[in-house]
Amino acid sequence: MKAIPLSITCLLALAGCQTVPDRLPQAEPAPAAACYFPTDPSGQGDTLSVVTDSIDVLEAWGFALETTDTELGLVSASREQELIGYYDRYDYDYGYGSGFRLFGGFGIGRGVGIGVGGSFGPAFGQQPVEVERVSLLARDGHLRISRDIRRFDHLGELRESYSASNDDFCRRFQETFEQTTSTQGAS
Amino acid sequence: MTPHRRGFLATLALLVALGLSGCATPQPLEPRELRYSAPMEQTFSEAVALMMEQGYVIRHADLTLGRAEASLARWPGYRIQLQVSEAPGGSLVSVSALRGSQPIPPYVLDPWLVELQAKLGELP
Repeated sequence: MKAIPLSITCLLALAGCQTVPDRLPQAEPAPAAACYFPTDPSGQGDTLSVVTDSIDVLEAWGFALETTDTELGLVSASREQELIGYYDRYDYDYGYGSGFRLFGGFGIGRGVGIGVGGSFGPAFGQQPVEVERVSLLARDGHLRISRDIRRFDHLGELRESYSASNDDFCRRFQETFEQTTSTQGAS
Repeated sequence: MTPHRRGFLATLALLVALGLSGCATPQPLEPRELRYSAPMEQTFSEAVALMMEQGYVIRHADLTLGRAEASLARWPGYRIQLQVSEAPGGSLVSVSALRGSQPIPPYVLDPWLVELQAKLGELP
């Protein structure tokens, strides 16, 4: 019976289409506990100063602002950096980073023929980039951070993307933020 | 090959083709709505906080417009569009989501709306 393997293949192909989650997905792992911290121990509840201080920190780190809403206490920013020598660990047989490829072959039939071809791949200046996006929400005397990282290859195609609201980033942000507020409070 | 077997294979191929064409058809983006008794500003700010708590990065939000857009960097990429508007006796939340470029069926958004209800302390 040829029909059985055929129908199994079809079932598998269709199963790929049908993966609708039963609820809205969340980041896994969930954002670290350090990504939610109190901003004013004194309890004055000034959202605007929290927003301006966090903008100072983000800009010092090379982020560019994308959107803000001071009424809501929201800041959204992103930064890009070129990845030098980046290759996708799942697809590394393609020779990332090398701009020139050589191929050729020869055949012996009725006579001998040799052919060589070269190709200039991606031009210089089209480096793979990493885009890091961050959003901050100052609310009820607390600051909440969420962050993700996406990596694009030299053709501008998305290669990797993951949620990065991790302990390391949030802790560093909190430390720098506290330093900024304390120096501003002293002056 | 008997005519019977050939007929069976043809039917099977037709079914598969129909099934696959169902996958490719773009469905319209259908929002899901729920009414809350909290004022619009509070509902909106709570909704944005809930999305961030779940790891979504806010791409855009405006309290005056009552619109927000958030994305989650999990393959193939998820996006939520949120619209909160004033309603008599509270606020109306309308939310829709995309998975990659495909709209997510509205019933999938129900747990999220209920979670927002819990955040606002309005669970029945």
